[in-house]
Amino acid sequence: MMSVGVVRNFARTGATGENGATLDNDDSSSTAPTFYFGKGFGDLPIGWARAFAITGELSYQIADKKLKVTGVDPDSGALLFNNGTWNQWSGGLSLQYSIRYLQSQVKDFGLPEWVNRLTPLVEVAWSSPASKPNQGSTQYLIAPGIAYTADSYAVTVEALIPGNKQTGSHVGVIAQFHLYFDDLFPNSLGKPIVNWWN
Amino acid sequence: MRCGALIGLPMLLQASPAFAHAFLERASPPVGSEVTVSPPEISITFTEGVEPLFSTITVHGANGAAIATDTPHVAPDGNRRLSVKLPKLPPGTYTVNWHVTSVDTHKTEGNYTFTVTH
Repeated sequence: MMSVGVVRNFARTGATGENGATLDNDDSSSTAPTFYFGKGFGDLPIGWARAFAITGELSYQIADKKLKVTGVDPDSGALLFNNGTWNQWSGGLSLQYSIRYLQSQVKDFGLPEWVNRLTPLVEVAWSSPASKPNQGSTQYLIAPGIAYTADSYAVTVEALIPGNKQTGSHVGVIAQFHLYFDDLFPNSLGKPIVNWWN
Repeated sequence: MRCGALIGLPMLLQASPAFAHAFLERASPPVGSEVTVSPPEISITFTEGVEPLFSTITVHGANGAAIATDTPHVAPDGNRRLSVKLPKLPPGTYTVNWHVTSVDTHKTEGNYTFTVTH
């Protein structure tokens, strides 16, 4: 499976840094054409391996306002920049193992239903500056974790392990919580349009 | 200006698997199992209710020949279990293909095998 998309990053809409986080709070907006792909291994001859799948994406982020050198600090001699940003490549891969697929398409091992709903996974993310000047660096992030998918929600927890010194020196944790509105509201959002007036 | 080390790194799980679909939860005979006698029916329990009129279960032998089955029907105790009657099967490996439409109209499909040993 392959698809393409365009991601628009709006400036100054993220965390301000007051709480210590400055994630996604660029001064300059950017646009990133993105290529997505995914492949299940269901056609492999080895039964247990058929539950693996990979997904990935590759994007090229184009800055609205390019970073430029505006001068030199007379005291420190350091370069001064405007509030623009730089183009960059980014991409990622995930390797997932669907216990649901193993149980329902390969062999029923009699596991409890809550185990069937688990998907162990490892993600690797990468980004690298693609224009000069820039204040970035090539970064790698490795994120092993596990997803639990219920009927109307999904929870994913992953460790965030820096892949090089430029990415960081501490291990973090990220958790995501998704709601499936069509299952939460089966008589409105989850109801087929053709049945809305019935 | 970029300050956070993780800025720009894609989080691939933004589109996690949508489970508003009917997936196989249990089957009889079980997925990948070996049974000693020909089962009287194929019975599949899904994770949510299915519409029998828009759902099929077909069975094929190892040589690809289709095994005649009746129309799929849901169990009287609920619409999550779909069944088809089987004729007496000779020993061999059989592939079950299922296509279902859940009660909220999502379509899913899958297949698995089981083996009759005697």
